[in-house]
Amino acid sequence: MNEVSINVKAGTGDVYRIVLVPAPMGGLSEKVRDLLSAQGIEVSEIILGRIQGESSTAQKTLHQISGWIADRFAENPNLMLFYTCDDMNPIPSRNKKSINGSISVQEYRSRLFSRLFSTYTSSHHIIDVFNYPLRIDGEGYSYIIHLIARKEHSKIVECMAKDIMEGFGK
Amino acid sequence: MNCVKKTIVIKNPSPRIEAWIKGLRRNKEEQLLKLKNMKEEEFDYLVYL
Repeated sequence: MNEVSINVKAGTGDVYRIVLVPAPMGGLSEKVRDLLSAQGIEVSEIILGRIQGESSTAQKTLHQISGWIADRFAENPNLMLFYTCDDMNPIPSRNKKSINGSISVQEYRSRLFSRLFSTYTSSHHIIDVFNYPLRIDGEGYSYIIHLIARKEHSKIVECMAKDIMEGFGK
Repeated sequence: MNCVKKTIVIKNPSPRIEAWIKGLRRNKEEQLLKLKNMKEEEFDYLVYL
């Protein structure tokens, strides 16, 4: 799928941009990349950023964002979505005194992503799309990735996970 | 039915995967920077809530 994007302006004046771009899959082995290609699977990365404002993000805005992403996913039956939880930008208006106040920015984004996914799938009675979280712990860093895929693509997701696990405990 | 699968944790990834992760991080950084530097007149399509 080619790059697609949208901007969302919330009532607070904050502007968010959502972009779906072809995900860089070059790190997977040739065998797995060939498998994806043979099955016609496309993987798009979700890039989500705030481009104006620093207000708390309202539920309505979050629903608008997840709804737009879900619509693109529904339109493309061979699409998988890929989301990496970055730690480059802080989360404005985050309540650091809350019960989850001490978790990392990446972990926060990961939990929020899973919550939005669960809210959307349960409210739309979707039972055949899965969220596969993956955490890679290297020396001095941790990286969290989410892969969203349909049930019929679960074997391919398993192959991708096995491929990434190669070298486990080196 | 819970559609969120259990987190797969990978410790000590292979050099190939480490290089990929670095690339993913760099790529995301560039994409986010591109968003940050956008001017309102460049916005192609806005949805107002």
